[in-house]
Amino acid sequence: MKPELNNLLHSLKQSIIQGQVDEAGPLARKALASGLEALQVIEKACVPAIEEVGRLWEAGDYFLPELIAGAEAMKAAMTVLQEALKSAGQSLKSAGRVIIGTVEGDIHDIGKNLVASMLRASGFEVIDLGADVKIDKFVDMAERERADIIALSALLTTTMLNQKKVVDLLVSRGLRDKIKVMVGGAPVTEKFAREIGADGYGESAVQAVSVARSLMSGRGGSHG
Amino acid sequence: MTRVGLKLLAGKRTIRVQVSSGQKLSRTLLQVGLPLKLYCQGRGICGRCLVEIKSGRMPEETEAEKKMRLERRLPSHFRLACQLRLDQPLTVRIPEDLLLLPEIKNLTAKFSGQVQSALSDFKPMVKKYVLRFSAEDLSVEKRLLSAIKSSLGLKELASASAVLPGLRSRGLLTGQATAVIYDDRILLNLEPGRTDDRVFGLALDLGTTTVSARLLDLSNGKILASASAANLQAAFGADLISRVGLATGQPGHLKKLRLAALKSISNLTEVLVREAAIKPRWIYAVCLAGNAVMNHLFLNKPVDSLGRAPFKPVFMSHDPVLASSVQLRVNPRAMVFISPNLGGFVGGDISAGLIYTGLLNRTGNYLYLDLGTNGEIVLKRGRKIMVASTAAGPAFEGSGISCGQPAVAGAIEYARWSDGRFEYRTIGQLKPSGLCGSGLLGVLAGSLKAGLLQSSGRIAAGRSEIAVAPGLALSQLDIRKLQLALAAIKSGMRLLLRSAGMDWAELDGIYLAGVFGSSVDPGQCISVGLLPPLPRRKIIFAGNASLAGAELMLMSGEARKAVARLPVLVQPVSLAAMKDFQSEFLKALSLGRSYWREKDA
Repeated sequence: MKPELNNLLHSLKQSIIQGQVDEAGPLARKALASGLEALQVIEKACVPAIEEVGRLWEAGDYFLPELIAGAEAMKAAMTVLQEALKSAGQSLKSAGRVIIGTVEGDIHDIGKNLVASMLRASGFEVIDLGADVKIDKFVDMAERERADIIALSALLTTTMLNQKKVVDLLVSRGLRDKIKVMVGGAPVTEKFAREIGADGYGESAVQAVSVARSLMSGRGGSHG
Repeated sequence: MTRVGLKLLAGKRTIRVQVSSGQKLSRTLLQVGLPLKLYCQGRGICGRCLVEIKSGRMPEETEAEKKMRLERRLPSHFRLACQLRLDQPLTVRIPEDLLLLPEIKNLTAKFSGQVQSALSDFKPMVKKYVLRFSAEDLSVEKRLLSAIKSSLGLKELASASAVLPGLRSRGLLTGQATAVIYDDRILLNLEPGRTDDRVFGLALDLGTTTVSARLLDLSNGKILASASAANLQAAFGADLISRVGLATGQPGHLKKLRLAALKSISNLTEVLVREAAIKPRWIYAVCLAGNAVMNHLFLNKPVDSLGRAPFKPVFMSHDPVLASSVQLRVNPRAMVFISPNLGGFVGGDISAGLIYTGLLNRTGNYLYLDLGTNGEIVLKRGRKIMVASTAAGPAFEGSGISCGQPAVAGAIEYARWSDGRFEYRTIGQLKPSGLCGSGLLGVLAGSLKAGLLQSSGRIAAGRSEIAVAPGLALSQLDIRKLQLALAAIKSGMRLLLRSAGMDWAELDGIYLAGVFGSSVDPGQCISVGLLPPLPRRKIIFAGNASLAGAELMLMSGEARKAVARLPVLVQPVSLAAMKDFQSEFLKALSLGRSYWREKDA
């Protein structure tokens, strides 16, 4: 590959890592204009970039603002690249379809928004139902949209019991083996996730991505 | 109108004034800045505002004065300030304990040029009046009430619960007896003989973690003793929400929590009455300031709705209740006043604190912040009052921080960076065992100054932690938790200001109540970014404002009236529902002054 193209991919990768939301889109467009294939740009710049953002988070270098900026920059680049794929009659294979929301009685959704952004940045299709979402709405939407995963956020010890109610409703509707459930939120623990019969628990938005991936591949109900 | 010259002796002060002839002495004293505690509101019946005429021609005695003087066998130069009309030059000595000089720390005086007393009147919640009754007066409740009403000149009077059936021997009451009256309108009890020196009040701050109490002599407003202890409810869950979860749909559990709170209160009461050498049954007034969950539990109200959005309390204001109905171990006929809730997470602790600061009566724009597990924020803009709460978490109470601890002996309460290391001071001058909120704030400020910490919250390259004292260091995770707590409060303040269309620079002052004691340095609050960079004199530490507010309500009718009006005056704001909540929160995660540089409005 020509050094200019390499430099361009490098710049795009850096713009995502550094969360430069306004630059990632134009850089992706420039890469396409220079003759690079959309798939190639995604594989060589975007995917490694978002992985690096996750690594920096895990290492403690990055905190929420950097993480969300990285995810936003990724989204800006991917919007450009996916359009290009679409007009070429191609499409990116979805990593999985996720219904996400904060459970009923809970209005805080920053954590849930972060998880949604990271999942999107990592190739998942995410349907965000927002905050204070009724139990049956999660199940109805998951069934209608043929979702692979329901991701539930709860921030209070009083509302986290609603995560269990979603699992129970899936069981009573006979959907439990078709749809995986992952849970998270400040008071939620891995132990709680196991007790209520959820399939996975993530401590952070970055962990949520690897949990979602393992749920998609393993389908064996691993935790964490 | 003729003027008369007056010489007033009060303590070490001597004041000379010219007043219009015919004016009452109590009125003159108010005008010259020596307001009196007028126990019976100047009706000439309690006989407490006795002053001594040192020289001058004595004005004529009123009937009330004469009666009082003869009863007590006092010489004729002792007069009632509320009755004495001035028509001759006089020299008068005013006993110092008659003066309405609030023992409550006068916060408002800290604002330059705006000295104003927090205690604006002396009208204790419960008062005792010594009266004479005939056998006929004591025959039926109705007659008793009308006898008391007419001798005290009250507009209305009812019994909290019939007083006469509870009295063992009515014979003892004929002749002199003491009426115990709430707010000059409700008869609580009748005691044989003269007992008007035995009327006490209990101020209570029922907190999630700590219960604080103060005992006051309601006959003169003196503080007798204070104490605090852990809330025994902690055995059922450390945080508020876990207790709500426990009591939700479980009346049995609610009862357990209620009993635990009552036990904490009765333990404290025992300590206080022992220290003051009084009897619990002499306590006739209780003022409770507690967050919404605490006052719901106290009154045996379901808390289910407080555990989920939109966090609606069952009640905002609650009528005062008799001590017997809530099983408080004071006089069963004592009255319990409950500081009202202003919202689900803005409870009676906040309404009491607001009353304490007196900021409702001041012109200008003020923020009131109560920092505990939840950060409650009140914004007063002109006449408008907005309240909001933020989920700050317990980091500044030392919880969840590897080297954190509550503000108890051994905690580093102050720290600053100096000459390449941290200088610190511990509570009780002990060997440091951890850091409490103010200490943590000092370390953050020092670390930013020393370059040990970036404004992003990342510990500088080459370091894994911030060492403060031997064995005490902040980890990267600790810093993150503190950032989250700070961001919740900072963004909350900013969003509340924004929803009022204001910038922080328009603030005339910020009151800070709650976990940060007086050991916190306003400069550190600013350099960390917790507070906007206002001039330091505009940042006021109010300490345990809810206990002080409860105390004020025990003594001041104006305070009780003002607090009762609060629930209808305030406008609750849901920060989480605001569209820029997330972006503001993320911005507020940055440490240092930069967050407040960007201007609003």
